[in-house]
Amino acid sequence: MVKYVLKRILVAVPVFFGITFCVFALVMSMPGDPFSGMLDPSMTAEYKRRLLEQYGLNDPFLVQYGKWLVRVIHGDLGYSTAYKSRVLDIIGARIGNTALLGGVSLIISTLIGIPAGVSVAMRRNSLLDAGMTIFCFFGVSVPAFFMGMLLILLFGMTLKWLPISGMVVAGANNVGVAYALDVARHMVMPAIVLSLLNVASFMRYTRSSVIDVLSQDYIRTARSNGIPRRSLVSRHILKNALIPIITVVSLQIPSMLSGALLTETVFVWPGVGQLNYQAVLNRDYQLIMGIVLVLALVTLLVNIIADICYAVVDPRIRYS
Amino acid sequence: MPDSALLEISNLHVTFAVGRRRIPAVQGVSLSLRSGGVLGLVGESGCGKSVTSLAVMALLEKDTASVEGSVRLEERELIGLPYKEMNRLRGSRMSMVFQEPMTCLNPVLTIGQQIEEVLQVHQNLTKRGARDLCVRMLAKVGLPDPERVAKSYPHRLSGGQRQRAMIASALCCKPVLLIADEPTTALDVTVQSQVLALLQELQSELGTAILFISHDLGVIAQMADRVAVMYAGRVVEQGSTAELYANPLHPYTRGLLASRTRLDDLGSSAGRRLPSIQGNVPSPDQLPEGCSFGPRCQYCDGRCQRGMPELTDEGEGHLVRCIRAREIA
Repeated sequence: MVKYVLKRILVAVPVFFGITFCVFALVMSMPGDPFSGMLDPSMTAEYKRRLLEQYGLNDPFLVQYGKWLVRVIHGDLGYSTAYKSRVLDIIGARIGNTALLGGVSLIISTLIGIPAGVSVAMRRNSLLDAGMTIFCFFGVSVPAFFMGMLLILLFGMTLKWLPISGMVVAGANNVGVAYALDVARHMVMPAIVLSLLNVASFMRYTRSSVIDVLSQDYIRTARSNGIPRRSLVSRHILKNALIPIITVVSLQIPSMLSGALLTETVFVWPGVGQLNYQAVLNRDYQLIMGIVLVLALVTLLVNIIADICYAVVDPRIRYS
Repeated sequence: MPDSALLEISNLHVTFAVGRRRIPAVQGVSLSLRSGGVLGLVGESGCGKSVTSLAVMALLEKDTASVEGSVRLEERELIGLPYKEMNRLRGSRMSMVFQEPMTCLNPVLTIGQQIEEVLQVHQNLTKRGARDLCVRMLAKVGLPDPERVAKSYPHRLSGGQRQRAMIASALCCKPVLLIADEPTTALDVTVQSQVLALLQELQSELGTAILFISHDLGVIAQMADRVAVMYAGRVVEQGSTAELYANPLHPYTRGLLASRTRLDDLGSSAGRRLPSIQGNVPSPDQLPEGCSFGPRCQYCDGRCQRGMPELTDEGEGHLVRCIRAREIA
């Protein structure tokens, strides 16, 4: 088992360098440069060339990538030209907000999606199953920004139950429990929007995975041995059905961090998704690379955790 | 028929609903098995042997299969028994061994976890007690180093070992009835005879009655004291093993017996084609008029197409479903 985990981690290292290299190449091949949007248009070409020279932006690609890599290894993610601040500080100030929103949504969608998927699989072709299928198609089809605006219209404008944007009431300066409640109230709508898609996809994947397991010979064996329904579902079915579900859940985690862009924008949630979008617009190379670095690390970490989960659930993987 | 039958199946019908069509898979099967006896159920693939056994265990999907008739175990009607009560019988009074040992054990649970759960569900045992009994049962089915086997996952065992573990799990609560559905078909020939010997040994030791399903007449001859031959969802011949093998009456049974390979034949008949029954078992939704074996039967004439022959007693409980049985014998 230890050997298995070490092997997974070792495999992740070259993948990590591969990702950063590819993204660095893509970022550098974007048209424009960090200064074209922020400096006086009357600036002379000579001055701009000097600036680019000074920041090392005229170096050959490989040299730039090498310099960036050396700085990263020393814990320096660079300096954001647009925010006039260290990249590490900017991301650090926002990643917690994204993680909070993403984490809450993930927990909600797992807690709803997986049990719901199991229960519709056990009642296949029933009215409940049909209703849930329709809900799932709705959930995956409605775009996040549209759903967000509908919720804002209903709960924010018409019913006036919930705040429509931000993370806290501006200038309230709450502390302790009051602060937590304030954040929670602001989080309700973005969390619903983010969860909706995931509930739908977790439910569909769980349903088909459980249906697949239900037709297996060993389930018939368990039934022929009079195993009660409760244990049949929780021990015999779910543990086998979990393997594809782990894959789907682990794929959703990085996309919750990066893909929350639309939701974060609609609800003005100060997270990384929104930051990423701004960074690309500003050609803020260092910030883009910083965000990509963090997302790549999270993705790789989640993949390693998923691999460990596979091994915990399935002994055939553990021993091979 | 003995009066005190352990398992009494009478007029069992199983119909599958596929879309709008209704497919009769088992039509009016009646079988009886005395306590401690072994009843062999023979027939080609698709003749309804397995469906009959799954109906007895109530393992058919309720929304696609409708089961009618009567199945009585120890004088208790099983058809229509609520799920929970059926579950109390399954695994404790009756249990089943399946054909595919490779896929019939749960891959994510150890052998021990699977057998101990059956013990704990049906018997008032502590975890410790279940563990001890499980290891003893694994030793009893001839698995070397039973403690290690109990801690192993199924993929670590060979096919023969898995089938032994399946038998251990089926017999751990000492059921009165074991349904063995082609238990040796998927095994190597040498392992096959070991597993058969094991079943015989346990059967005589525990006194468990066995409904033994196979398409292999040699295996049936070795195991069963009575035999029922099924064809296209019906029993076509039934009798004691000795009588039926010595004096087969139904043309189908004769065909099956003729198409066996025998070691002592090989010398004299070298180069001769093995006899076989022409054609295939008809699909249950395309049964011919009259006797369903008619189209494949060399003795079939106009009378055979007039209706399905009744199962008639030709003496000493030798039943046959053929109107010409006496003429062609």
